[in-house]
Amino acid sequence: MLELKAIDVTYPGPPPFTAVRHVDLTVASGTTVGLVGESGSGKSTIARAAIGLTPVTSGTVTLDGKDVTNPRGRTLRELRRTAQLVFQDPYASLNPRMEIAMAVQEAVSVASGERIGSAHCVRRATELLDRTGVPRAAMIRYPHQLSGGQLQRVSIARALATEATMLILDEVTASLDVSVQARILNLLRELQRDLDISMLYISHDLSVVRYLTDHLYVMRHGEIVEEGSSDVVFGSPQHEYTRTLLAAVPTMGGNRWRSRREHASVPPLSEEAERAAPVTPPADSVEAPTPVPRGTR
Amino acid sequence: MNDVILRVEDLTISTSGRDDPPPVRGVDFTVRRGEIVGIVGESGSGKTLTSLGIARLLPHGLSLDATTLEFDGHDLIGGSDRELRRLLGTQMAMVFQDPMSSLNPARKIGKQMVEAVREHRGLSKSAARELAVRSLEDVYITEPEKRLWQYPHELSGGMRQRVMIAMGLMSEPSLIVADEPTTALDVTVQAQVMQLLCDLNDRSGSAVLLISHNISLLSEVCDRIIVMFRGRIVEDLTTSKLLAGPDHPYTQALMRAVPDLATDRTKALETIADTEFDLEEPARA
Amino acid sequence: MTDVHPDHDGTDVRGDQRRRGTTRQMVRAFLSSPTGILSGLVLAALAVLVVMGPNGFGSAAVVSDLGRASEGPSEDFVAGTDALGRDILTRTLAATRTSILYATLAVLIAMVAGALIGGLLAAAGPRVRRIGGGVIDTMMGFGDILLAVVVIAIVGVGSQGAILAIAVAFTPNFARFTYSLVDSVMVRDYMAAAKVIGVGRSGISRRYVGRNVADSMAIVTFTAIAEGIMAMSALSFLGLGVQSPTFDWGQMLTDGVRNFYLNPYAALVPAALILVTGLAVGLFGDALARAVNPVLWSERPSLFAGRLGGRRPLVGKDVMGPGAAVETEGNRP
Repeated sequence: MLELKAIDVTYPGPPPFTAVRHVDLTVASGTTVGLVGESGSGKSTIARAAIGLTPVTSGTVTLDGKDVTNPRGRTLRELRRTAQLVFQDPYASLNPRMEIAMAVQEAVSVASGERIGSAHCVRRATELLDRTGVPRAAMIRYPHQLSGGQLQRVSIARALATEATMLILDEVTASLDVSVQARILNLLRELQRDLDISMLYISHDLSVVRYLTDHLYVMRHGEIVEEGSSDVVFGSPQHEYTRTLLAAVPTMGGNRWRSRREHASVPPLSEEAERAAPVTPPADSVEAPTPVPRGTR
Repeated sequence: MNDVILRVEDLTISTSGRDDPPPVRGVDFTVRRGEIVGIVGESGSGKTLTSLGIARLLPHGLSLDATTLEFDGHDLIGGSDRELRRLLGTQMAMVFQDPMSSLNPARKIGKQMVEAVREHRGLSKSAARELAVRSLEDVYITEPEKRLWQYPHELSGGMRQRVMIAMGLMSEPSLIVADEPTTALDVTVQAQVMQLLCDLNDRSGSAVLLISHNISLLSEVCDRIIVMFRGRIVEDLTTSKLLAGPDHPYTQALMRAVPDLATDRTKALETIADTEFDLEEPARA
Repeated sequence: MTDVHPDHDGTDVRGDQRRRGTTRQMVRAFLSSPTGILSGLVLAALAVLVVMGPNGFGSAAVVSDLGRASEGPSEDFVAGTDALGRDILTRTLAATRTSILYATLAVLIAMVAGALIGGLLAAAGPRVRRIGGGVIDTMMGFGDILLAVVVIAIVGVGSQGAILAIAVAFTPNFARFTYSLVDSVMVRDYMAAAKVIGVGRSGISRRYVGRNVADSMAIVTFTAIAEGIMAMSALSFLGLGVQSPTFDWGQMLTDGVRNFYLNPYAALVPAALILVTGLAVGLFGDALARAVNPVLWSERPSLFAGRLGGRRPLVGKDVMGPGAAVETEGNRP
């Protein structure tokens, strides 16, 4: 269980800037908690403060009852074993000069003390990459040779390598295509179910947070403005800002910004005028995913 | 009067000197006057290249070919370069995803706006300045006179995007091409920009070609939506048809892949299972 | 072979195969650049001259024949003779070892010292960084040659003095460069990610900082060697470098310029060699840096792709190209 109590984070200036003000936040074991807010609301700062990357100015962070506020030395190492952070930009958060398998082996090595390349590291890294759905062929590639979705799977595998029970996910699908996002969200759901991990899911995307989380915090200008079970917050938002935020989310056929003009100069298109491509695309229209040549000999 | 503002037939954009499959292949569509048309697609679908191709702004190394590329009755393929620039500069407005990169960071907003409009319309300095103030008002920017003296970095992201739209509007374009204009913005700001585009369309009758990865967003504002996948149009349908249920499996999958506020939380999201539409394998760059 | 079983579908991630594939790809990437090959050939030729040294040319380079001083090109002397009647071409070639070796040595000393200072400074606290940065900037303000002259004034004229002088003169550049390079790597997301994973100091400095600065360091070192050769020549030209009877290109240039109207080749031939060497070293460094950067591997086809055992061309046609090539080779029995 992760608990943030009365957290303040002030970045030293000049001029000093308080990014997070008096935030209380709890992630109970085995649950997924959402943290939503717009850019500059301080949600990423909370992620970094919880994991000890950004110093907390005041307040306490506890993990499973242990004080891990501004951790050092042993406490830091223990925190890193239990809690992990996955970053937003998969291309930036992996070392461009390290093959995927090495990146995961490194994390296994740090957690287990075995050296990189040892039987244990290889086996465990392969296991983790299999578990997160990274194709075998991708394992010996460099980050720039993989798609964003694959890289985000790698980052998740790395986070799991330490046997973490608490994952902090900071906008992990923000840079992905929607169809890839759906798969990553499904993967996270599966992982949570199978490994019984807790998650703090940080996002600006309310629909995704609503889908994934049980409990929800809404942040604005460094403060929590609303908190509650996801169903309640989305069902009957209490705070004005939450309502504004919810109202701004585009929904299928929401039709809010358009005064569908009766006087429009354009008559509505007749349904016949619409064209749909044949359901099965012609053979050359779609590249089959590049088959990765296996060692054939 | 011809009611088609943009006609594209068999548009193909290819990478010159390489035998890769062209990133845009055989695309046909039309935009009618006053219409709001959306192009939706994921990365590698060719939606952005299509919009750049229409504005003849393709980066080096890419070449364009089409049977017809007609804007407001003018041929965009045959015409002289100068003619083309003048036409596109006045009649077609482009709005890009990152307004910071399309504005000159070292020059004041007013200077840039005045310069743009004088070049194309030959107005006097004071007339141009007046017009700039009026267009900033049109995009709901408060204290427009003051903004003219500010640099781009002094404005917020949403405001910069509105300035870009205002710049485009000064020449009273008949088509606004907006490529992911709100992707870098917060949802509340996105709502404002969308509202603005819709209002402008209502007021001035400018057609809008709105490119986005967000099918929900397009379904809210567009009359018609074009769905692209790996360089081709897979479906071109009215919004009402989209809402009633599209025919093409990719369009269906695209709609279901995005959770919305009503998605059942106890079930896994439907993914595009068909490997033909698998985007996780990187498309050929 | 390691004691790990290959995975069921034939792919595995064993280290030895991985490394072999990586090296092979680096070689291929290097061979795909025409400038790399060309500069490599020039450097190979220069290396032969370095190995031969002044004595490799017998007495022709040192024996003077005052009766035939400052002659123009002839059948006997391809590039003519100098003021003391020595064959210009032979003497220039014979001077290769001194000219290149001393400069390279000096630059390598500067590189190691500069990298150490810069790296430590980047890892230090804000106060040390500020003071150290100030000192480096001040030293850089003097300019290379002036700094070198000051050192020579202290240590004394001669080969050792010149080497030390250039090493000292180049160190601040390397320190400043390493400092900003490491600094730019330290703020990247992957560094934060490594810290969160719990990677230790040595792992971070080797696998993260080291690998990400290596290619830039290589370029700069090679460029610096080119500059070092020039600087060494400049010192000799000023009479502060190597002293007779030792000779290098700079010294020959000085002598040649004095008799420029009698035989211009006495100055032009060593000048040309300085130029060619400088260019070759610089271009070679550039090609090398490209070759070790995996991000650039797929950009250009290898000139010898077909001959290096790759049945599939190593071209950027598909993104998976290079990776796939590794895999194919890794699994070949």
